[in-house]
Amino acid sequence: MAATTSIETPQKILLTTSDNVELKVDRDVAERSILIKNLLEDLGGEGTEAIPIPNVNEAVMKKVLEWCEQHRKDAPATQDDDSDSRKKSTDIDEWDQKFMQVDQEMLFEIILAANYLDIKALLDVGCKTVANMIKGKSPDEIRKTFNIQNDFTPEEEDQIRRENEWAEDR
Amino acid sequence: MPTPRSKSFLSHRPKTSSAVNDGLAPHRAVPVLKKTASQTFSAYTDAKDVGPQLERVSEDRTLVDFDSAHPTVLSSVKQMYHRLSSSSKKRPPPPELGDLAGSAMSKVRRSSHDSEMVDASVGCCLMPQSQTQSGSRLTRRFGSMRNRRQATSGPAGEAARYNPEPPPMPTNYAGPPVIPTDSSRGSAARAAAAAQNERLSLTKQARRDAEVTAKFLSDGDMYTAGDDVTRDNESGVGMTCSSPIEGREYPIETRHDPIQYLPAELSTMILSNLTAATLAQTEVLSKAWRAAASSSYAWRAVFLRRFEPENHVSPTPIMMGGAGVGKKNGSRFDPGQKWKRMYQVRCTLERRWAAGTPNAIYLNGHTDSVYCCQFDEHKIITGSRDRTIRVWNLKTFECLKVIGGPANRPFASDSAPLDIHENTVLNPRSVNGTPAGQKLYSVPTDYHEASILCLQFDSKIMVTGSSDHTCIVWDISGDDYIPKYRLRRHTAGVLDVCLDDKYIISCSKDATINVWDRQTGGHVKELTGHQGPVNAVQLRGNLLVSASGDGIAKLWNLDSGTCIKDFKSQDRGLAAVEFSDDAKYVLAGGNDHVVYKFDTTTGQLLHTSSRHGGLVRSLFLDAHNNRVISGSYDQSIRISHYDSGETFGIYKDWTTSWILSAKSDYRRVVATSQDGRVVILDFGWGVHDVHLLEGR
Repeated sequence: MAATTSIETPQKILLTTSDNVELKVDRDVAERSILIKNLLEDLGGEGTEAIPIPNVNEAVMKKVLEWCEQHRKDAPATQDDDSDSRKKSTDIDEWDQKFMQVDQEMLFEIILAANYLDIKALLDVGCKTVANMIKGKSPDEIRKTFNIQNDFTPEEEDQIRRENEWAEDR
Repeated sequence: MPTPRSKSFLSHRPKTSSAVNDGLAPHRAVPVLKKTASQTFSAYTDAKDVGPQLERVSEDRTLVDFDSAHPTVLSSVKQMYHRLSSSSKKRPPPPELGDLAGSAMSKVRRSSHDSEMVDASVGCCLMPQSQTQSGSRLTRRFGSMRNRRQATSGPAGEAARYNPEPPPMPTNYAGPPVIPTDSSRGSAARAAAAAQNERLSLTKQARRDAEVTAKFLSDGDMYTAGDDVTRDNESGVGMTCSSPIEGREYPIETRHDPIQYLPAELSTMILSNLTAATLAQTEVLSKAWRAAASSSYAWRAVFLRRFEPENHVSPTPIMMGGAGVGKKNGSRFDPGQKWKRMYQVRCTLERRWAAGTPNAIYLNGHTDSVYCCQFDEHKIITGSRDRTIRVWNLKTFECLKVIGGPANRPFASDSAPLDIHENTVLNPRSVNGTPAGQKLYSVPTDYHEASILCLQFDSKIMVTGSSDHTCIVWDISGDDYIPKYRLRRHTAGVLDVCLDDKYIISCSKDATINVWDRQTGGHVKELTGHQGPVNAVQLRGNLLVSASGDGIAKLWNLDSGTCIKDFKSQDRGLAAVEFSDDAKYVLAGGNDHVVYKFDTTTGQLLHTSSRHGGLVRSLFLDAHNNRVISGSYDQSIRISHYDSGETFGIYKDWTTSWILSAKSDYRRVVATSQDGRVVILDFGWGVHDVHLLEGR
């Protein structure tokens, strides 16, 4: 199976995004998405029909497919890698880091899309990217980064700080 | 590959004496660790190679502007209704918890005892010949007791200090947010609101990321306008120098609060990548952040990432004590545990380890040296020169069972109770000789008629090794411990045993190591090569390390039965050995009074610990908690960092004689002594909610 696909032209499939754009993509690339993979398996046959992806627009879908293309050779996601992914640090490989240099809305949309399309590794990279934007910053810097409106009174804020004093890095 | 110690040299080498070691230095030139080309990793070049393909693929696609019905509009409208308030006035950071580690270390004074307490006939299995010059002065008490550190940071104080009861939330909590009068701060909020409005009117436009980024790059300083944070000089937080991330910040209209933007499960997924310190810090950002950041889901991941022990080899090595990671059912953790609180309790325990403030619990009952111990979450099992095995309840500290021959029943002792440390919280009297004590005693169908020198158990079996030259394998799966069979082959005392799913390994004063089939008790193979008594063995997968009185620790391949590598002590015999769970490092200690750390692969000596005042009799490695516990004839238990080898805790004279074994888990050290007692240094005593960490 693997040998034949590498010789022949990879099978193409069609995806229809939420804004009604048809995207043609290599099947193995699209199958990084467990959702699409399962859909294709359920549909069977040649898959000439376009698969609707009603929750993802074209711009985001293209970005997601770019990631899938880059990672097409990665080992398939396992179901129970809960503990494995937990062990991993927040390190993100260099290509992924560059890939994630997008505006916040796109970043969050990629996270939403990865979640919807069930691409665990991309979801993980997205979450880590946001986590890295939080790390090493003061609360005010974090508020500024994400335009967070502080709805605590100074007293309340102080109170929470005192409660969590134990967690501070020594 | 390993350079074998020359026979002729060895034969002249005194086993454990401090005799001059002359030509040794040239022989043991430390090999230089070479860096190989293979260590250069090339992930980046891979990425570059794939680059061009990507561009080609994206050319195939039709470019169409996406418009209007973008789901994010909804979320930004939602944000509009979000109340704006500002309370970003900085306060000075909360006071640091005292540098307890530092102050406690300075308090730990080394007792100045000058007596060499030695009895070669009692320490029979190790018998350092150099120490036989003095007579048997076993019962001598040390004047150094008075030198002990004062309990200035006693248990109650510690616990209170680390478990502060949070004062109640202000009653005006639910009140309306205060609209700040400071015009500049108001302008920040107004700018944000205006930006949101602008965004709403812009939604018809295609907002391609590239354009936004370009806009940001050309107009990089727009977000700093009206920013009050940069004006804050008081807190000393440098806003402009924080990090390269600063350069990646987005124009204000493209910044979104992820907690508002994303569904709860995704925002907690983000938060679960943070460290505990950062996660706790994000609780002050806003009420929505507080709810998300204190969620059990996020804390569960943060807790387990830090505290769940990793498993490196198969079969999994036997766990000493508990893991301290809460309730588990098989491999799944129970839902609904208080992960944040558990993290806090672990931090409290860590600080007590660092500060050196355990409480002592003594277990009285054995009537002679206690040579060996092991414990799990519920029980401690000890073996003694009094020829009995005792099982103790780790929760109530009662003796549950005494197992031995009919001639070895203990009598009530009329001797004065032994000295206890001032941090003692429990010192229950022995029940020897009382009716209750008689009831605990059981005589099994088979028993050792000599000292119990070593033992190891798992959930099903226990193996005990004795100076009667044999091991007994016990079925301990039920309430009664039933002897299954004896392992007979050694021709001298069995000094250490270890076991896994398949094998039982025993080592002996007869200089051999035997491998036995765990299921049948049949003999599998004998490993020979040591020139002196083999004092300790440890098993990791198909690798075995052994330490011998000949001054060499050996690494063996269990499948082939061959010795792969030698690790040599500086001068004298080795008494104890530890093999890291990942099989990467070997620790060994003995009559050089130090602990060596070797690299398993290269054989290189990585570091040598600070010197004990006597033979290092016992070693225990808790790699996951980065601790090495060493017990010595100098009556001290030392606790060192596994990675650096630096000693950070010295517990001297908590017993009145040699430390013969010392093991630890996340909250305690269990040590046994020649004075017949077991002492537990419990760093979790009185720590509120410490029970949350326990398994079943």
